Amino acid sequence: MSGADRRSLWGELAAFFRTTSVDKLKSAGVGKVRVIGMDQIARLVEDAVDRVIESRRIELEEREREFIVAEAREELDRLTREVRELTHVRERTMQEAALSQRRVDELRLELQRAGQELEMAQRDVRAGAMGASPEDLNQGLQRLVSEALGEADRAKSERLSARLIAFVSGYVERQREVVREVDPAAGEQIAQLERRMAKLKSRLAQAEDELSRTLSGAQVEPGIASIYRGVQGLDQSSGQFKKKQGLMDVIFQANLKIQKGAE
Amino acid sequence: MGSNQGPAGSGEANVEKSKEHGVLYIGVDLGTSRTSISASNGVRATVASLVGYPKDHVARKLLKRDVLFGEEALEKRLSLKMFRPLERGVIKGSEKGEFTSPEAKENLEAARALIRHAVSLAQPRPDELIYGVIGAPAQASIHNQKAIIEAAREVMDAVMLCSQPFSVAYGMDWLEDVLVIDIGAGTTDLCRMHGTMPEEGDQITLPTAGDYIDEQLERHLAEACPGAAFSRPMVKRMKEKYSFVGDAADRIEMELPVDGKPTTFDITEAMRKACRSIVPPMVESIHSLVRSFDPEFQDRLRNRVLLAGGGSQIQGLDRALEQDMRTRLGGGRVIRTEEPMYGGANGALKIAHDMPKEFWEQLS
Repeated sequence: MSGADRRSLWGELAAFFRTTSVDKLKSAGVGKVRVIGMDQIARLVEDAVDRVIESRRIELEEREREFIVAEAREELDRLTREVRELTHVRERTMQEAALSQRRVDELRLELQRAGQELEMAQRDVRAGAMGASPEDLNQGLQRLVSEALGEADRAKSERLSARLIAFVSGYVERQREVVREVDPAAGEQIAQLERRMAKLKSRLAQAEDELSRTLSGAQVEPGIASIYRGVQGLDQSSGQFKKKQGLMDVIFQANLKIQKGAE
Repeated sequence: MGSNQGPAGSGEANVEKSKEHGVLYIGVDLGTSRTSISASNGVRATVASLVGYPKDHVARKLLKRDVLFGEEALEKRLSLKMFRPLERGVIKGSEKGEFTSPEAKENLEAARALIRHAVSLAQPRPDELIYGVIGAPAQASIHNQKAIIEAAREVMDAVMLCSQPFSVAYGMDWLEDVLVIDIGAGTTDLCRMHGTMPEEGDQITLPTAGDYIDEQLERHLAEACPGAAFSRPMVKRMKEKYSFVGDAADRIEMELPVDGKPTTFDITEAMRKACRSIVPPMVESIHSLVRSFDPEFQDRLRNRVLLAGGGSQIQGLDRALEQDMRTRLGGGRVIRTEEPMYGGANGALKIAHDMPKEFWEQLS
């Protein structure tokens, strides 16, 4: 390929180049990229053209040459359009992914804030009911009993502590009920916060799903083309043609039976 | 036809699906242990038939996916609910032919995901028609066949099933007087070909296959390696690396942990015994299929035994079978397929290619 042709090919392809950073790719979930050099592309094009011409052993006349060039240009245009279309799809998908990511981040923040609010509300109710945590109360009672009875009667001290703790815990629970009755607003606030958190969690899960789908869509590659443009079927010159034809018919009939039943 | 999904299953929604750019044929070998595909765009791929779903929200966030497949799923199995959806040739839990139990439903969903994944490995273009043939277990029930077809139709324009051993034989153009032995993980399928579609009497399915060898190897290792700790995946890996029957070229030495300390064991005999365990039932079945064949062609049949499937990679298996066949049948010749992993998929691809246009159109 001449330098001018190579530059022309480069010009055609340059329209699709897009600059991005490694960090951006990583944040979009892309771990690996495929790289192909311009020289390799040029060599591939050149090889393909040479091989086709050689394999067909065409004695090209000027008119035929022009015809082939025109056809090749048409094909290149078609491919170019296709690539452009796919590039647009990818760009749109990446934009959607960025939007989804932002939404997920916002929901995560909101969820975190709601969690903190809930924790504070629960702490307030506990403090209102008892003034101290159950652990503090248990430790306090144990200390008092062992001070009163001394180290000598350890077993008795432990039994008494256990009974006292059970009694006081029951008492505190009853008091907590009273607080709930006296201050229904506190209970309502907790229930409301819990409901809000559940809703936020579900929305977050949905948004994360959406993001993951969008990201996987962003990595969609155009795929690898089949070598066939149309449906093939058995070649009449194939060995055992009749036998194979019969076998194809049997396979088809069996599948038709299953699938007609399935529909 | 359902949506014609691209490699990642989505994203092509915005691309106009004109389906005018070509026809992609795909051959699929849906096996208990491995699923392989061959496609008319030159792609060939194989994946362990394993499906894993994140156990919880945390795992899903960490793995960044809703489902993982094959070796990757196995590697991350601690965070996943794992499924090996096929067992002994059918979808697990559906042995009675129904998908009513929760186990069957879950495995059915996993099998569907696996088929979708297998097709995506072929990297189809969104604008091409996809016609596929799936080599399904010879003994799959009608319910199983329907389930496989329904799953495949989500990602293919038309799909057909055929029996796995048949597709192996078709791929090699051996359509007459040939006995195919397809050694999979769950079952060993023997199928006699005589120029027409094999019938029930032409097929024998044995449970002595790859999984059976794993069980045997585990048992023999427990005796040969006292105190050693090993798991089923470790046993499977050992088998895949060292399996043999007959004379061992070298001793097989493995390092296994004993009370947390790596210890070297000689596992040659354990491996030989475990692999050898599938030979007698196979020879017995070959005998049964040969003796009930047309007497005029019995000699030809026993000299055309084709060994396929992952299990055919056991070193020395062809010779061991020939040796036992000499005693039981007075002789015979066993030939291995060149590509045990892709024999079924290549055959299915060839069937897809040879299927007439009007047949595909009727199933589209």
